[in-house]
Amino acid sequence: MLMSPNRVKRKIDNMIKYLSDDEALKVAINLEKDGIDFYTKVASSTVDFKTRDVFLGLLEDEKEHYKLFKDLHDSLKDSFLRIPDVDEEVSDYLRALVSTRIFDIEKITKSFLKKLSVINAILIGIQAEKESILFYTEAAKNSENPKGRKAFTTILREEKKHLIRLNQRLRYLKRS
Amino acid sequence: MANLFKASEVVRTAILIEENGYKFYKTVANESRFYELKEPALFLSSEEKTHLETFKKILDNLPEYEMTEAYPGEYQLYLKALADDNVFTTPKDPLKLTQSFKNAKEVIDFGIDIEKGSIIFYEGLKEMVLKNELTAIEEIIKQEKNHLLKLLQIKYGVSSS
Repeated sequence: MLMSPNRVKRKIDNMIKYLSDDEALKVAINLEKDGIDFYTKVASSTVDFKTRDVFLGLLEDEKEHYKLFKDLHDSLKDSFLRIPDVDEEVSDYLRALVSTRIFDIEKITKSFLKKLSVINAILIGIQAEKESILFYTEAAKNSENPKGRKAFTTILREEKKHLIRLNQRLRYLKRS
Repeated sequence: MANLFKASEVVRTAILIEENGYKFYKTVANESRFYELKEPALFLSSEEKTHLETFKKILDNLPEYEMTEAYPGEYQLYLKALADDNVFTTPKDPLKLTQSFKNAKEVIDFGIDIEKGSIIFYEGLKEMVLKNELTAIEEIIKQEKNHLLKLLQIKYGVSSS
């Protein structure tokens, strides 16, 4: 039996409590926090030192992104970055993006890291970057606040560069 | 610049993604043992087929031009990275793929992943087509987003049964 659309919507609403008004920014902060956590973990467990350098570089970027979003969120506390909640389609899609994230930082445990190959670590990184790109693309398009739009657009471009760096490393490792 | 992704190659990649997406959903509709997926898979396959035709038309109208960008090569490298990562840019046997799933949830998760892969790739592709083709791409992206929502709805339906 399929659930009714309303029930599905309620279930998603309950699952993601943090998506309205300024919440796009909170999601961004969480995405970056997960990125910091992930790159810290894989950088310390990866034996291939060139790949470790890539992870460390990305880690530094994610720290800067986190700070940028956090500062922006703090500065906009009262005016709030607003993604119009009148547009249900946008809102539903953003919720769907967050709720279907394949990348799950909770699964990156010590025992998981022990068995994780360099190539698979890069593939997880690529997945996480793609999820961020999808979210920031939509957030940049729909944010009403100029500062928010600028921040999402800037970080979107950087995440695309991350994807390129990870892909280049992956191609190199697959060739060798 | 050598080894870069040309505009025509990018659109051909989109055609490949749609072609394989169409075959995948059609096989799920006809061959999968998860009967609850038959109707949505039929719907999704027919939409992907329409997208396939649209991209073929776009390819026919694609002008030969050099892409300009602030950092030469970066844009093509980005699209190449997306194409490399997309499961449907390499040949797949749709029947073997469909039979490899242990349960309906796995099929849906796979579907969600390919829809996301399509959205992100087409967002990138928008920058290289003629302005009058943009509406068609926007419409395809909109439909892929709806596919994602539809799959999410089915996922909860499947999980609750």
